[in-house]
Amino acid sequence: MRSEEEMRTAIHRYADMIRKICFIHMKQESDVDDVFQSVFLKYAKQSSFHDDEHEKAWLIRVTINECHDTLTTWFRRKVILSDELESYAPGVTSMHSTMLDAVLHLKPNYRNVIYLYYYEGYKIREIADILQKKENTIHTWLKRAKDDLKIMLGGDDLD
Amino acid sequence: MTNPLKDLDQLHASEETKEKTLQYVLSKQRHKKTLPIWQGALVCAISVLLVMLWQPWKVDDLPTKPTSPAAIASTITLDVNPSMELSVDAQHRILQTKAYNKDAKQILASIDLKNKELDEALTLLFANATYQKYLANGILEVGIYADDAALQKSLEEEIGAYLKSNATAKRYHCASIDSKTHEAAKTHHTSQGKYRVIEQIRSYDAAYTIEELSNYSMKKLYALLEQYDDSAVPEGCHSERAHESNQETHHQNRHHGNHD
Repeated sequence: MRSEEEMRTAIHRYADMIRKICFIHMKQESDVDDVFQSVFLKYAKQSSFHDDEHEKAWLIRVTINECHDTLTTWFRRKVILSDELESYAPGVTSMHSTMLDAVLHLKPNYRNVIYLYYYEGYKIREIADILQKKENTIHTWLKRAKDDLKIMLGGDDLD
Repeated sequence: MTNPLKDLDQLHASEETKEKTLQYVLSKQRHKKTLPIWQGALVCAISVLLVMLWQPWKVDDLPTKPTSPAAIASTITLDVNPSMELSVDAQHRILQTKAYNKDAKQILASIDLKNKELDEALTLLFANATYQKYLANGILEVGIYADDAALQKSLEEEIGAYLKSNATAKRYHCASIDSKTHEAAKTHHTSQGKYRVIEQIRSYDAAYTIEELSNYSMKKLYALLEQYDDSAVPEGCHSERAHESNQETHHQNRHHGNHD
C-alpha cells in the first residue's frame, strides 16, 4: 500500500486526466466519484511502475476498464437514464462544441483511440500497448472513427 | 492537425472529488489493517457456534444418510480455448455438461458425454477431431472441485494419470480448486480452472478485468502470467520460446553429460 503523500501526489497529478476519460465515457456525473475511488484504490495496491509513462498508461487503462465496468453494472441494474449529458454537472455541458459532441457519439473503442491519439498524443503502437490490441486493430479503429466523424461533421476532415 | 477534444482542456477534476477519493483510499487502507483482528474474532465465534450446534462428539449417533446417486459431487473444468465443465457424481459418472464459450458449445454438440464414466468421456472428448486441433496447439487446464476432499484427490489422480498416458494433450496442467475460487468463478460465469489463473494474473496487474481475461485462451493466459512471474507457470505450460529454451538447455545438459 502507498503512503498518504504518494496518494496525494498521484491524485493531484492524474485527477484531471481521469476526469476527462470519465467525461468521454460516463453519462452520469454521480458515477465519476465511483470510478475515481476504484481507480485510486487499485493504484494504492499496485506495487510499482517502471517509470512515469508506465504509471500514466496503467492509469488510463484501469480508468477505461472501470468506466466500462460501471456502465455494464449500470445496464445490469436496468436503470433508465437519460442519454443526454444534462446529468453532468453544470458547466461541463456548456463547453460542448460540435466537434466534441460528435466524438461523444462515437463507439466507446473509437472514443478511446481518438482521445489517446489526438488528446494525449500517443502513437499507434503505444495505444495498442495500452488497450492490449494489435496495431492493425488500432489503425482500423482510428480510420473508422475519423470516417464516422467526417460524416457527422458534414464532410470536414480531422487532418 | 485538429484536436477534436480540445474543449477538454477546460475540464478539471474538482477539489471535492480529489479529497473524497483520497479519504476513501486512506479509509480502506486503515480498514484493511484492522480487518484481520475482526475477521479472526468472527471466525472464532462462528467456529465455536458451529461446533456447539453440530456436536461432533455425537456424530456416531446420527443415522447414516445414503448418498443420492444422481447428486453432483464434483465439477471438473477443461480449458484450452474451448471452455467446458463436467459435473460428475460420486461414482465419477458425468451428470451434466456446460459450455462456457462458443468453441466448447460446438464440441459438446457433436459428442454426448452424459451418463458416461469419466475416463470414457475423456476418451470421447480427446478423440474429437476439433478438440484434438485445440489440444495440439494449446495448453489444457483441468480444474477439479469437490466438497469431499477424498473425492477431489481421487479425481485429480485419475485425470492426472489419464493425461499422462494419453499423448493427445501434450501440454497440460491439472489441479484441485479451493472452494473460494470455485464460488468466485461461479459468480463471474467463468470456468474455475481458468479463473484460478486469471486471479493470479490480476494479483500482478489489476488493470486486467476478469471479463477481458476470460476471453483469452489458456496458452495466452499462461504467456501473460509468465511475464509477471515465471515460477507461477506450471511445468509444461510456459510459452513456446521459454519451452524451446528449456528444451535446448536440457539438450545441452545431456550433451555435456555425454562428454563428461
